[in-house]
Amino acid sequence: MAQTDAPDWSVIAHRLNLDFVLRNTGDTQLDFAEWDAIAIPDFDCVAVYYANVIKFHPTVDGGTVPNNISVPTTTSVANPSLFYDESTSKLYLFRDSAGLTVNRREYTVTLGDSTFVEEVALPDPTGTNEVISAYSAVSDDRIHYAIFNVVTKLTNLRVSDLSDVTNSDIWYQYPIQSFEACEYNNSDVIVVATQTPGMVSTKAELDQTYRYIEHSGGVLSWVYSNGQWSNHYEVDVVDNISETMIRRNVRLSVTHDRLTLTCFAATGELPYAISSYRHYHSKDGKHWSIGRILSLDEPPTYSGLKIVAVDDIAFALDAVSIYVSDCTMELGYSSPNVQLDISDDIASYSYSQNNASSASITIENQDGAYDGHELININNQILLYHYAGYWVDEELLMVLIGITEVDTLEFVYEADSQVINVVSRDFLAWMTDKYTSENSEYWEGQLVGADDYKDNTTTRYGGLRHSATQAGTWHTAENKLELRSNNKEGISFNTHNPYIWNGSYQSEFELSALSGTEYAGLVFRALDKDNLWHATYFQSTDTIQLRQRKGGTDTLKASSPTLSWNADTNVHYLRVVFYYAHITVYYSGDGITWTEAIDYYANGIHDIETVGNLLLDKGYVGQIASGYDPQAEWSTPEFNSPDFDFSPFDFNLPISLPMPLSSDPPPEEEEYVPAIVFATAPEREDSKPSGVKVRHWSVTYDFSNSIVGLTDKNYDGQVAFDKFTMGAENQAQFVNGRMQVTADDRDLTVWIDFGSEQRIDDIKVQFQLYPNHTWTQYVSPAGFTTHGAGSSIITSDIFLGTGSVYADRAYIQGRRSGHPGGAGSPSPLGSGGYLYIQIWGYGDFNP
Amino acid sequence: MGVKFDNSIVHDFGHPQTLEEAFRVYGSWANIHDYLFDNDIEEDIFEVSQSVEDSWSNYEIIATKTSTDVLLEFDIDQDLTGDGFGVISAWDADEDTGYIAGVDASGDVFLGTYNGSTVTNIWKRTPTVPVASGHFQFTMSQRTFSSDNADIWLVFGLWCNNALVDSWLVQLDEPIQYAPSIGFAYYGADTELTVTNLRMPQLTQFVEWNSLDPGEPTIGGLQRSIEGRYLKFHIRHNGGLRAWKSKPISSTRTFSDLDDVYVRGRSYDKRQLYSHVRLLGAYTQAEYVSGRLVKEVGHRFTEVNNPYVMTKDDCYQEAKDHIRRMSEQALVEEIISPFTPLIEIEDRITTSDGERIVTTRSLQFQPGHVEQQLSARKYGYPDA
Repeated sequence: MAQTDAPDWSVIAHRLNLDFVLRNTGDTQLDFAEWDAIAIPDFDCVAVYYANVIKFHPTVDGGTVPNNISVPTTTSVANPSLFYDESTSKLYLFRDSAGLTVNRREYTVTLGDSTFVEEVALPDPTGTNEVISAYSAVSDDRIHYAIFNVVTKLTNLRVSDLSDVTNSDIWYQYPIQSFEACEYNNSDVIVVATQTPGMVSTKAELDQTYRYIEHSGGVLSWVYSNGQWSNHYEVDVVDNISETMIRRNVRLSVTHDRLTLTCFAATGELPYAISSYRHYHSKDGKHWSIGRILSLDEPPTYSGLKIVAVDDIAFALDAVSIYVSDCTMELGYSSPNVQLDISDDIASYSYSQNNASSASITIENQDGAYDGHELININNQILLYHYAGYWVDEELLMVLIGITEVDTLEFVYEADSQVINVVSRDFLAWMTDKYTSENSEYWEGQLVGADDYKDNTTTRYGGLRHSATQAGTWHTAENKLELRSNNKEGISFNTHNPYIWNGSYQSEFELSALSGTEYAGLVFRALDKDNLWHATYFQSTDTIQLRQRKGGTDTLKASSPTLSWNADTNVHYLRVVFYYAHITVYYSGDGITWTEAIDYYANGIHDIETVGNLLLDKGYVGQIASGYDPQAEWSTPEFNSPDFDFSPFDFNLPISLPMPLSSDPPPEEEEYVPAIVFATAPEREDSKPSGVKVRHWSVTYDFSNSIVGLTDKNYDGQVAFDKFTMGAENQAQFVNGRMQVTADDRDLTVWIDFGSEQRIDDIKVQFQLYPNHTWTQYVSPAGFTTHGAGSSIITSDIFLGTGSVYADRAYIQGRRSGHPGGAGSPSPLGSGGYLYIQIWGYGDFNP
Repeated sequence: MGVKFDNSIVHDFGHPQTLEEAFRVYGSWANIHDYLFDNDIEEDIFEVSQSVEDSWSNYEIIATKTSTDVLLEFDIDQDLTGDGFGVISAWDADEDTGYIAGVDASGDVFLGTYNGSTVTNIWKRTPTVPVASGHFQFTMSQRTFSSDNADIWLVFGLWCNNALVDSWLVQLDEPIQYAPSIGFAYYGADTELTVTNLRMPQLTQFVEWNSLDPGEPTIGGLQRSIEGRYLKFHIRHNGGLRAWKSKPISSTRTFSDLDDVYVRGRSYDKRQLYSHVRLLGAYTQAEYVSGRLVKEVGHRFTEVNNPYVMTKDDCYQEAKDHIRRMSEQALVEEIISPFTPLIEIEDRITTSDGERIVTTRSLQFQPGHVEQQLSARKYGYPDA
């Protein structure tokens, strides 16, 4: 047997799981507050900004920290952001002003009273019709924005320093529910909770078949480096968001060596829905861990939870809640407080290292020394760090030879032997069985595809291997895709991928005759032959036109200059690039050099909207054409897929507040951690830990008289708009609320007086102006901007807002596009129109 | 005759996804964030000097690949305004021709053919977002998109700072049969183009998607992505994930006769040894015969299918690798050795009996005492 001369070894046990305990600050937990938090390492504390006060909380309860900083009141404190420069002890508070600009307040932090240095207005990042919907500072002079255009309903990612603003080419079609950014390894990582293009599904009710969108959403990230934004990465996106399947209120921080992201998440179905905070980690902002439920010893609030690490201590923070844990390797650093050298108690120890390594250790448990041990116990996830080496010149040189996680702890109590048998495996076990997928996960590489339409069968169908006919008759002849329908429209989809969101498609085409009526183009983001986008060359106008087709009806969106292509039937080339809302159409005469024909930005949506306003944002690419074909008469019968001449979207998405967290453990689980909630009944009154009743409200307003009142509604979380018919025109209404029309009849103001301060989650107001106008003429919540003073507030978001506030009034102003008073410009109070109002919130309001 | 279309090309804005990327995806998802991968190409600084101003006359070839799956990552920090650069790929050294993709002096992104001095554009477009300096990723792969059509395409892609600049596809008359080279060309007023942090992952083969089903552990998805490729991976001493494809390596430890090394057992199993391998790739094939094994086991033939192998050179290399793997696995030794803390599994060691690869290390710890037992297999390079 080989015998080493002076080897030595040790095994250090580390607790892996975070163990957050609520520190009592005397403050009442709040939901939906606007706040931010940041580590202040050189003062061993964290700073939390909320309600115009910066509070410092020590890592050790009772520790000395700087005094609170009172910040002058502002009327709008949406999504404040903190940054701390430890090298200068400078604390920077970024606050917005009415959603239009952001100011940076600078403080020098000291024990006692910190010093205010200056307040600097950052350059206005907004343009016409734009408001700041979210922002996050990543340094003392760099701040990332999400800018919302109230007209186009698009969100643009931007960055600014103290002098310049840079716009990205990301014009996001969906609203950003929450937004954070951090600098990490010389890049900025931006995370958002938002919607993503959903999946088309079909349902049947009675004799009607409906197609609808299963709404998708979750958390995305972008990496910003060298002045450029990456294409996005999916952190956690679920296919079918609903009130019990959501990801929202993201928070991001750098904890020691990694990015730590949290979000509020719900899963499951009623009445057993589960809500919790989840934490995700990454070391590059691109590749993220699965979101795992965060264990908290008291139920958290809804408004996001930021994990901040200060050396050995980790905080989980919201506006007023302070949860404290020792840092563990979950956050990239293991505090000495969660480590234990068990080497001296090891009776036997073997370690087998191969493709899947494991260690077996027997620990002496003399006199039950480890019974009830705070680290070595079954309630902890335990990592074992294995070290080994030699004594050289009286110096012990040891190296880490492996890390394993404990799988089993076997306590053996015999008369002459009290031991603990420990079996552990390396991190490959995390891949083989520990972390399994909750949902179907899909990470696509870049899609590329091409088609030369070569027909090896001589059947004229052999070249259709990547084509799916939607309308008309298509053949392949002479290795080309050919429409064989005489002057009837044909549509063919390319089947490489039916779910292309951001992409590019190009094809060459040649028309058949100089009839002046032929056309040929590219379809993209197509769901079916009646719902798609297409960029098409029309002989009749000699232009390329970008059109959106919904329910079988085309709407012209943009047009190129005339191209002088209508004098021949030469081969031309088209290419369309669609990137979020930005659509660019190119043409070429040789397929080599391309010229931009159309540069267009499609509108986004600000909300789950009703029929007619759905985006066509993901789908097939393909061809569309119509032209002369003398052989069509004897070709096979025309094929047409079923008509979808109604818009195929039947929205009824009941999204409300997530299930409240309950402090009541299910009786069958003694060791229950109340962060994981199994709601047992739809009624949720009094389940809120703060004792505040949870209610969903609706307010009714009938235009003939007054707001009828705020009524309790929808305890089961099923939210649907109430609909009220307008009465006479131009009646200003009062009582608990009023509606007034300004001189410019495009404006509409709704003012709702709650009578006392309430906690408001969100307000949604929609109105249709005339019953005979189409839905495209209504004003959506996106048209409402923030106004108000004092305790008046407004958030026009329904569930995608930046949070909630306490207020006694809501003052909402909307404006529809179009010329005031002009033809076709209806009065908001036009007879027969509809008003929809719904308010969600919490409180004890009695109507 | 009706309206006609031809040569349709589609791509999306996804990120390049290689086998290495698959390990990152699945590893990170399982909360493992540290990795060790090998690189086929690794250069801290690579310079393309410029002798003739404002021309493409200068180029530098970095390396030759046997595979047509290429992901090249690099940084360019110099201002490219008014300059052009291109990544040369599928370079045929015998013909002095290849493809070049990049940014020209006008800021347009382009794909062209290149003969060492002249670029002939195949595709050219003004990008929506100007191509800035920073981190670049270039990809090339040879693909077919049909099961019933021998369409062969070369697919190119260029990303800048993790955003797609553009993708290009070129249809080929026949698959690339030669070992293509890659390199850089420069067009500009500066004296040279400086490329830094250049690397080509060893696991550069492309994966179309990674996926997980509900309830499935990450290893299930990873195995789907790896499919029939011969890779090795394990967790290292620091908790990081290492994945690689076998290649010649240096010995990390030589046990001398003075060391107290004891071979407790040795087995040699010839049943799975074949001396003649025909490797059938996607479009081509190659054969390899080991003279040593013909002598040892006679002429034994086997045919191996590997649809991930694209070129004849790659088939030949894969056939050689197949024989090497068989030879390695045939010889297994159990070795008792002094405790060597720095040895990791899959390290090459040298004993008086020959070169070995550590397959398993078993350690028994007692106070002041560590017993180390190694299970090792034959090191198959370079004379399989």
